[in-house]
Amino acid sequence: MTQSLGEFEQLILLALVRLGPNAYGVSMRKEIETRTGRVISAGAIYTALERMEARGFVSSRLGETTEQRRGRPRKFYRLEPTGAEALDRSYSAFAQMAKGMGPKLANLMSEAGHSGA
Amino acid sequence: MVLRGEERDVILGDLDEEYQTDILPSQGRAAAARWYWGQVISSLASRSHRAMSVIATRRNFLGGVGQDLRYAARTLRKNPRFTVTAVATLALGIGANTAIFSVVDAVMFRPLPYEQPDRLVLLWNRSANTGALRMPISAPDVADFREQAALFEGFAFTDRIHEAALTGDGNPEHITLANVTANLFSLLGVQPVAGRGFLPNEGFVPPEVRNDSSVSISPNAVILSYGLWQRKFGGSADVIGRVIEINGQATRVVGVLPAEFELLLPPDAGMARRIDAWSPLRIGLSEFRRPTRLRDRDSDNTGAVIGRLRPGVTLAQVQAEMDAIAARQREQYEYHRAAGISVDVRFMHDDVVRHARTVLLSLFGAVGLLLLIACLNVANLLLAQTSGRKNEMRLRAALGASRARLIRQMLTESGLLAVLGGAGGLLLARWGIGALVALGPDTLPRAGTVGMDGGVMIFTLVTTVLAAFVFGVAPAFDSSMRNERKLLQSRGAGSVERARLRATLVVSEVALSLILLVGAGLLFKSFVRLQQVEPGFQPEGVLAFDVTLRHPGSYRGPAARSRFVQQLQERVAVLPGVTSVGLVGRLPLGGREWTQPYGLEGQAVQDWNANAANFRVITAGYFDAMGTRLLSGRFFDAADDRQDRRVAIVDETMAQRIAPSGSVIGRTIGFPLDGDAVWAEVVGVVENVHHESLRSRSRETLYVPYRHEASRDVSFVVRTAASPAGLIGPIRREVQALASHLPIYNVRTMTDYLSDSIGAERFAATIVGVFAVIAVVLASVGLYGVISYSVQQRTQEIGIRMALGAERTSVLRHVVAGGMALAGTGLLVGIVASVGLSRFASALLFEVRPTDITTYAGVSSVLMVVAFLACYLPARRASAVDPMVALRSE
Repeated sequence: MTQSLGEFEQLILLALVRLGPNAYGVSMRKEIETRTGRVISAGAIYTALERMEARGFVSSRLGETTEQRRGRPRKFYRLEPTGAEALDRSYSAFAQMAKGMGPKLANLMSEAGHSGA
Repeated sequence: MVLRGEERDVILGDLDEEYQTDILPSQGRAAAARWYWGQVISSLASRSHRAMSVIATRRNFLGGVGQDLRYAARTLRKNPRFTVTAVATLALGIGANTAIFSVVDAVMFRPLPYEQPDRLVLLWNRSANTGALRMPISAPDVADFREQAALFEGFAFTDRIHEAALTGDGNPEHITLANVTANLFSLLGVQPVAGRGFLPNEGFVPPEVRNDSSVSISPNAVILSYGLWQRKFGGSADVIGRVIEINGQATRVVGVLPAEFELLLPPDAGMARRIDAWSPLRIGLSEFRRPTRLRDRDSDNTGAVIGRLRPGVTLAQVQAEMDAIAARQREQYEYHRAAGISVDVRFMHDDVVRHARTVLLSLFGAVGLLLLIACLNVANLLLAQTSGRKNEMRLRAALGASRARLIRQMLTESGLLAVLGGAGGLLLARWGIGALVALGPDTLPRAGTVGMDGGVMIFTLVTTVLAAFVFGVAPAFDSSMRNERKLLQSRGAGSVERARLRATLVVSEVALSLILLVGAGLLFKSFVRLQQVEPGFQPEGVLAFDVTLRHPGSYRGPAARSRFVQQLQERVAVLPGVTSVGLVGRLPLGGREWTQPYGLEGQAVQDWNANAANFRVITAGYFDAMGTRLLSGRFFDAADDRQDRRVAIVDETMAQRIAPSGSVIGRTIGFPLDGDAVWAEVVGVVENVHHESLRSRSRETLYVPYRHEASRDVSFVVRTAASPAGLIGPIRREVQALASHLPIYNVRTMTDYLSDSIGAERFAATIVGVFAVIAVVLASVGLYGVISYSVQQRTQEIGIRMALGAERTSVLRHVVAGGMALAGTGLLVGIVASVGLSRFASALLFEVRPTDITTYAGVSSVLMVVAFLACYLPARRASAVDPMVALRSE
């Protein structure tokens, strides 16, 4: 009955879980970039977060401002139960499909390297 | 921005935070700035779509455009001749437009460089009885305005320019000095760069102090222009507070104006372009002499009046208020009543640029036509190109490229061409602007501020985009080819359509270039006519220079000044080569008036203000030196300097007024002299002289001997058999020897002076002429291209004809006739269009009708000859084709 999460959304929610109370735009972007190497723009991440908030997966609150932000507040996000549910379902599905695939994937990669594709 | 408030704040906050903590410390400022803006753009891009797939499609979209660009760049590189021609053509058109626009922008569009300039107005007097429309206002009137006008925040008054001498150390240097009300700079909102502005009552000497000879009057204050400060005082800060000597009077420097400051007034306000120094008035405005019916409105008590409106007040309201005040003045003062004086209020910006408006807008129109021709040319080139790319297009369509994609490809190419052309245009414009300003007439206001600023860049960008659209659209649609069937035909029907399209383009180019040619021809003829106007004197071999007789303790009274002038004349007269020397209060063609009321025999003095004549004081040798012809009677001689018997010389127009039939010699004419009515006997009649400009006929003129009303500002005129320029040194030495404290200035030959006076007309004719030549070249290149191409296409047909026995000459004739038909059509369309547009041109022309047959015939012939050449050359190649080769080719 609930829709599934896209790949990007999964990454964001995972970052949310990792960062806990310190999950806001900058920290999430940095987390994703450090762990996966994907660079996302601030606009893209907020677009995704807003859509998920509309679906009830996350909730937001405005935080304090700092001098560096020239008086603009940080927006912190929190995982909601429905979001946790969706994330868990996605994770399980992936985990099931990927169970034991590690060596196989490694083989496929080295084959691709040999054929010079 | 695209974002809502809260979202925007959060994102911007994030960007700032990251910028400060991570990016700036680790990378340089430039890289950090790049990162910042990159983030902004990508955030915008991702926010403008709601869908998640935005990221994927964005990459695709951008990738697509990038691919198109690379493809376009490669295509252009593979056809260097085409690319270079197209880019050069576009650069020419865009560059010319940018150059003209920067001038138009700086002169006309940009607001005046003062505080809240839309609240500033200029005031003029109008005389119902003499018909004069823009007369300077007398100082006491301004005092009345200050008292009575409630809708104004304030008025400033500036006296006419005084030629003054900066004396003291070394040679006297001539400067221009303006006497103004102390509030002028605060009214305009101008801050000095050094020192201070004038205090509210600065310089004012109360009457009791003035009249008390025991009290010494403190030096007046002066504010220097930036230029004078740099030139004469080396820009050093210690000039503030220093006491300098102007016309022998001690004056204290209180401030220096910014470098870019210019008091912008229309040319007929009589202010010089460059003002070196400013001093506040020493007496109150109401203490100036009021003009009376006998006291003329001379330069000492009239000037330009600037007003600042209160916020929220409209022009209609202030005009109504001033009408009421003027009505009261007419009741109160006899002079105002007799002359029917009223006050006109105009926005300062409008007033300052109005005289340049027509010329500039016409230039703008002309250059727009040029750009259109350039675009049509490039469209033509593109069309010629695409026919050679049929195969390529076919292949791409077969591989699944949609029509939209192909169109987008073509538009990308056009866009790239346009961008290159635009860049080239910017470079050309830089050079062009310099040329325009250098060639431009002196009367071009704010010429110093012409340059390439943000507004001009935006204009260039918009022009480039529009141009790309204009020339890119047709070929793009054509190349994408509607019909699948046509795609598969080898020599498709598409080429007939294309040929027709190209023919239409060429006809349009020819028509447009004809319009430009007609314009150039008319302007040129107008200019020639202007040059042929008899000015009323012979300028060749004449040198003129100005002197101002002002120094404390010297030149008091007409007798003293007259004596000095005589001495100087005598000394100059004996210089080698000099044939005659004379003097006049104001040279003709100065653009400034000096008019007086006058009275005919039997006219009561009250009625004199209904007449106005040019008034000139001269010495006996003046007409000889100027070469003005004597029509009857005699010139002045030494005996005429007697006070008891007054004499006058009049011009033809005045002679007609005095004595429509019969001799005017011996009749009398009355005029005011120092407040008295005097009568003079007419002893001579001279030919009419153009006193204001060559374009306008002068009003009647009255000449009296210098001795009687000896003005302080005079112009000497020296006629020489040798070169006038060679006299400059000797004359300076004579003046130095006679009076070392007097500088001479405005030294020039009368031929230069005469030619400068028609500078604006020369400018317009030259610029439009250049445009017309470029247009004809472009149009003929376009025509050549079309004919050339059609010959190429029909090589086979030509070969068959010749193989079947057609003469070479008949082939030649056939091709040329085809081309001339195109040119002829363009000519006719152009003529019709020119006649239609002609009504806008008449303001610029002088004694030439906008539908002047000779000009039309002349330029049409020129165009036809050029067109003939453009057709003949490819035709000759066609007729030289070997039939066997032609038959074998595909």
